[in-house]
Amino acid sequence: MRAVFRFKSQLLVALLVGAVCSAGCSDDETAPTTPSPTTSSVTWQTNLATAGASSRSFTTTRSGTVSITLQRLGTSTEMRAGLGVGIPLADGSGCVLSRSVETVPGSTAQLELDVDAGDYCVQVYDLGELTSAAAFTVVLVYPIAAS
Amino acid sequence: MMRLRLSVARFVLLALVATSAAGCSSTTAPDLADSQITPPTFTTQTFAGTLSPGGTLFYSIVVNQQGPVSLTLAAVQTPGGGALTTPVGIGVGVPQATGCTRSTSLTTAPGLAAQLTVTLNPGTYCAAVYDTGTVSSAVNFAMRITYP
Repeated sequence: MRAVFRFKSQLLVALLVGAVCSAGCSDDETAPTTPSPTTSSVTWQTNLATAGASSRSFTTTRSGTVSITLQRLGTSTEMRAGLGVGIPLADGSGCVLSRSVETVPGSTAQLELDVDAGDYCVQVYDLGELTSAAAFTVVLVYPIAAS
Repeated sequence: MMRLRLSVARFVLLALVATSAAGCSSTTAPDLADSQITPPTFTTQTFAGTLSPGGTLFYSIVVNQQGPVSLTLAAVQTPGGGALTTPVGIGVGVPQATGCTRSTSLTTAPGLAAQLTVTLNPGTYCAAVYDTGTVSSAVNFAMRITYP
C-alpha cells in the first residue's frame, strides 16, 4: 500500500517536471524589439555652378526603390535643373546617369527607380538656365538592409 | 510481483522525464559540413564603352566559383552624356576567337536593377552589349557585371 502511495507521488513529481520542462521548450521568449529602418534618408545641400554638375554617391545594401527629390534650387521655384541617378565609374571619374529628368524644385520625388544593392550616384546639373552659382537641396531616400 | 511492476513503472517514468528534458534543448550542435561551406565572394566590374549601330562589344570575366552572374545595363547615353532609354541587347556567353558566342541574352532598356542573371560554373565567359537595331548613332553605355 505504501509502495503504491510512493509510486503515485513519483508520478506526480514526474508529471510536474515534464510540464515545467515542456513550458521551457518554447523559443518565443524574445522581447519585442523596435523594427530597424529599411530606408536611409539623406539631405544633400551644396552649390551648383553655372554650366556645372554636382554629384554624390550612395550605397544601397538591399534591392528596393530609390527616391530623389530636388527640393530647392537657388531662390527660384521656376528655374529648372537636370536631376539624374546612375553608377559611379570605378576610377572615380564621374557619374554615368541611368535616368535623368529636367525639373523645377518641388516637394514630390521627381525620380524614382528600382535598384539592386550596390553603389550609385546622384547628380544635379545645369541646363543652361543658371546665371550664377545656386544652392540646391536634394533629398535622397534609398533602401538599406534592416540591422 | 507488485514490486517488480512498480520498478518497471519507475523506469518508464524516469525515461519519460529524461526524454522530455532532452527535448527541451534548442541548441543545435554545429554541423561540420556547414562550417566548411564558404560563401562566394562577388566581384563587380563596370564595362563602359561606345556602341555603334549594328555593333557588338564584349568583356571577358573569369568566374571562380559556381554562382549567379548578373548583368545590369545601367546606362545608355548620348555622346554628350544625356541619359537615354534606348533598349539594347545584353548577353552572356563564351569567348570564341575574337568574338563572344552568347548563350543567354535579352533586349532591355537601361536600369539599376539587374536585367539578366544566370548561374554559371567556374570558367571564362564574356558579357556582351550589342545593337538590336535601335541604335541609330553611336551611344555610350555602362554595364555593371557581378560574378562570383
